Amino acid sequence: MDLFGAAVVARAILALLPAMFLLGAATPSPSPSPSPLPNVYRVVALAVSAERLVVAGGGVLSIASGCDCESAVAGRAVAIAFDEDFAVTSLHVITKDTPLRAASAIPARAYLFPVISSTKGDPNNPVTVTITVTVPAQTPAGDDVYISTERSNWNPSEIRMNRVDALHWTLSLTVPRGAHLAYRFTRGSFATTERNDARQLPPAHTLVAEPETHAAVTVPGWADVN
Amino acid sequence: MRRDAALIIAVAAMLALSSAPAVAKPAFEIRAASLAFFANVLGIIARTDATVTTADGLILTGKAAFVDLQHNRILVTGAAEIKNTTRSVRADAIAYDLDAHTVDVLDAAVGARRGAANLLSFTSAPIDSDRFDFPDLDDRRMYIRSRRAIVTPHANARFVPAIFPTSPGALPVPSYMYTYSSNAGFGASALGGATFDQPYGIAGGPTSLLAAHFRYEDGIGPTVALDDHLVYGDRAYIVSSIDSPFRSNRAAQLTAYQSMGPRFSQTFSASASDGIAGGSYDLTAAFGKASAEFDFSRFGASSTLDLSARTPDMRLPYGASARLRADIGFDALPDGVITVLPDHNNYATVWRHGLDLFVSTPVVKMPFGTQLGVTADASRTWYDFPHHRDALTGSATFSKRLSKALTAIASYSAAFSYDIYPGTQALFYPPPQITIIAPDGTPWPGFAAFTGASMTRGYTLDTFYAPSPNTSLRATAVYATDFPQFHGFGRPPLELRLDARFRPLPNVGFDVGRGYDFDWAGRRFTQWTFSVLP
Repeated sequence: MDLFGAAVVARAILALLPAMFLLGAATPSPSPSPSPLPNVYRVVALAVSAERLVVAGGGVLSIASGCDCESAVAGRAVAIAFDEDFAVTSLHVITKDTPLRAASAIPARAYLFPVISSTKGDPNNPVTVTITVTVPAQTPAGDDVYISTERSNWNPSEIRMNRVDALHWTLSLTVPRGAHLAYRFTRGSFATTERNDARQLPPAHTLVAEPETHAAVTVPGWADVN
Repeated sequence: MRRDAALIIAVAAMLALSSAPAVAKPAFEIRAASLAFFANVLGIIARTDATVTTADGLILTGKAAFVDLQHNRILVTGAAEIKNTTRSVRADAIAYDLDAHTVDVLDAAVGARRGAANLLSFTSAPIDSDRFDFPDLDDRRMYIRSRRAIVTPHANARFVPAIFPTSPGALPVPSYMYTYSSNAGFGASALGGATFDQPYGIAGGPTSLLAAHFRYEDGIGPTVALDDHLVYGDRAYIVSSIDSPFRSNRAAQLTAYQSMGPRFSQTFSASASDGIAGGSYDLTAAFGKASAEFDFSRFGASSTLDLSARTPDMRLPYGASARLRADIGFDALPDGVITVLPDHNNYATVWRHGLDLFVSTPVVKMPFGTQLGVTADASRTWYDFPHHRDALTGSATFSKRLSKALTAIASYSAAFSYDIYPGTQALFYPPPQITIIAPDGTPWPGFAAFTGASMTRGYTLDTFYAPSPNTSLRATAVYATDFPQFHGFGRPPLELRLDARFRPLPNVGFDVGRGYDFDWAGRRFTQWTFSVLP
């Protein structure tokens, strides 16, 4: 088994080395990002004509005469700038990390038709969500607590949580803003999945990722502990 | 062997039966020159001439498309068109809600209109930004790249082919099915534990999933298993599996679970391997926060019955709580349960009853910013033969948060058990006639002191360092002083362990860990643990 384990890890590291090298150039610097350019917004274009631009979320913007806006590609992010009448004066296809104001910052009056405000956030903007679980006192000493999510097809030992004290475990996840996350708690196997007060398998816990989301969950029991 | 064969045939029949829903007509299929699936937002972005064909006869086309799997919606945009056999509508963007069967059409010149999926008539409507959402996703977080996806709503999406940008060499596989249903039954497993287990969806529908598992099992090595899930809402599931079907040591398992209202649930499981077949049935009833359980199992010729009931947590002074559990049952074996007795045939069934008291404190504040939680559990089981078994376990856990990212946990746990046969102790725990040899070959005369009383005591120091959500380090030291424990028998006296979690790429992370046992019966390093994080 040692050989197998070592082989798996070595293979993963070897496979990742080139990617990690490339990532050094591709990943944004951890240093503070430069301030976004004023009045320049990052939007996803849906459709464009000579006079109007449709952006993700369904907003319709007017295009100022003289704007070379035809370069917009459906489904791609672009940078747009407005004049004082909120007509689009310039449009450029942009790189992934260009610091610009978010589409959500565009004033409602810029749109030609009213838009029902979205309940979603910006999925390209990762946020940190923290999940804390209170486990029953009967939890066997020495066992770890894991989160199992639909992202791994409910792998019961998907992510090990960090212990806080005798009864609490916590985990922070970076997920896209607006993402829906369904999750359950286990002690590493399906046979040790959480149970509700009636000792039944409860529906998955869910959350919608927003900045500073903190979900606190109490697990009344485990499948294998009565 | 006949029972083995019967169960294996039953499991195979379940596998065959449940693949039937997999061929049910999928709700829609999407094709494009490039499809990108993002697991974290459960969305598919199609670029360059996207075409979506739905099971209800609609065809949507556009320069790009976004499929919101979470909400079962499709958006096509850029010279968008939706048509059925008799009608077609063109617009700048078209959104189709498959659950509501409504179509939203957005024209930059006139705004939005909404109509039914039959495309007969549309009326002016406000622009619903959720339906026209096209997320600005970073391609580096893509999980699967493909050209075609077949989606069963609220259940799974099959990608044909599937390329995983995170895999070594980004090698494509002909097809990959991603299950995103939140139904617990899809996460159930009848397979035993494995060092490594990677599921691979083969077929599935709204209520079924057939998957292969590529596994590494201790004692077996690399192997393949098949498992199949049938789910009935959140109320019930049946999971059947065949492990190592092409090896002589194949094993078949079946587990069925049903919730019968808010109070009752039942579980049936069966397994067969190495010539031993058996099954168990469990019925659980809840009464408020108290519960009762009936459990009967039979493996080979051996049977066990347990009836138990426990109280809810009862409040004690200072925030402590206690619960009491009582049980009664029997163990049965035709040739006798107590095999060391000369008249063991008279003990084909041995009844027992027991009591268990569990007490715990809340987490309380202590000096120097520490916190403490304590548990204790005492139980005694009486048998209808002169025999009783006592067990006492306890734990104390101190914790201290040293900084925002660093937490230290120190804990002590102990378990004492004593197997008592009044007047006949030496019969059941006779002094060894020869010197016991430990697993590493060392003579172990101290084993003679073991006459039914055993003990485990562990001192653990755990430190968790989590400077960011994607990086954490855990260092653990465990000092174990048990009895019996000698040169490879029992836990190693000292183990150090290091676990690291890191995310070298935006869409994949790793958790790697290994322990060191200080030459415990010749073992220095423990097995690697390795998992890939989504």
